[in-house]
Amino acid sequence: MKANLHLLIVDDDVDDRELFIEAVREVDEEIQCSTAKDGQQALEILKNESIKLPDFIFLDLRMPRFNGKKCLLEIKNDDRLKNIPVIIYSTSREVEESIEMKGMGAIHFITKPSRPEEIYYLVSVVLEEQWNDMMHS
Amino acid sequence: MNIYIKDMVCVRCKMAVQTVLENLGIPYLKIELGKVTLTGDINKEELLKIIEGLRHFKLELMNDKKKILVERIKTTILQMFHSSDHTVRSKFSEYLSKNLFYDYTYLANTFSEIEGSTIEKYYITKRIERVKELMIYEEMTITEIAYQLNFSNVAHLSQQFKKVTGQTPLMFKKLCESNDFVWKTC
Repeated sequence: MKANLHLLIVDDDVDDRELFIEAVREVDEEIQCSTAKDGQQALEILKNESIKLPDFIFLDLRMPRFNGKKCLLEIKNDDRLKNIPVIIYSTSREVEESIEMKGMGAIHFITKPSRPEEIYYLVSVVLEEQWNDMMHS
Repeated sequence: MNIYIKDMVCVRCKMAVQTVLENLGIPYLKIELGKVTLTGDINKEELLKIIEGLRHFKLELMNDKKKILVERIKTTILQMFHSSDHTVRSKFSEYLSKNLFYDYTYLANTFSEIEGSTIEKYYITKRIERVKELMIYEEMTITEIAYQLNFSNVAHLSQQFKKVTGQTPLMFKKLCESNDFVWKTC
C-alpha cells in the first residue's frame, strides 16, 4: 500500500489491539503499528518529539482513565498533532456519536465487527480509502 | 410509486421484471437493479399479481425498510464497479453516503444487522468478482483492472484477490484457461 506507513492504535482492550494489528499485517506487512492503552498514553507518545508522528490514528472511544473523545479534543487542539487523520474505531453504533466525532475532526467513524475474521475487510477498505486520498491530494 | 425487489443482480433480472409488468399491463417509468418506478399507484390485487409473476423468476418483493436499504446499498456498490465514469473514483464510504443520503455509520450498521456480515466484506468480495470478470471476459491486464476498480496498486489487488479466492489472479486465469473449468455466474 505505502512503504513506511505508520499507525497508532489506541484501545484499552488488548485482544482488540492485537486483532487489529494482525489484520493490518495481513493487508500489508510493511505497515508499522504502535499501540496505546488509553488516551493518556496515546498523548504521551504523540507529544514525545523524539518519536515520529503516525500517519493515522485509530481511536477507540470507551476507555477508562482518558477516553477517546477527550483524546480527540486534545489532538485537534494541538498545532503539531491536529493534522494527523483520526479514525474512530469503536463498538459504538450510534449515528449521533459518529456525527459528533466527525464534527470534532475525526475523518471516519467505523464500528468494530462482531466477527473477528471480518476485521481484515474493514481495515483493508479504510486504509485503501485513506491511501488513495493521500495519493490524489 | 416505487417497488423494491430482492436479489436483482443482472440484466436478465431486469428483463424478467419487464416481462412480468408488461404481461400484467402495469405501466412503469424505469427498471433499475432492485427498484422499479411505476407510472402510478397500484391496487392490492395488482400487487399480488406482481408478487406471483416475480415468483416464476425466483424474484421477491420487499417491504421491510431496512431490507430495502440493504438492497439499495448492494446495487449501489455493484453500479460503482460497473461505472465507466471516473468521477466515481471517490472514497467508497463517501460514495455510498452521497448516493443513499445516509451517514456511513448508519449504512454500515444496518447492513451488518440485516446481513450478519460487514458492508466492507461485501464490497471487497463483489469487487473481486468484478476483477475476475474484467480479467476473463474483457481480457484486461491486472494493472488496468487495478486502476479501473480504484485499488491502491497491483500488489493490493493481488493480496485481496488471494484473501477472497485463495488463489493469485494469475493462478485463477490459468485455471479458467483449462478445459474443465466451469464458472458459475448469475
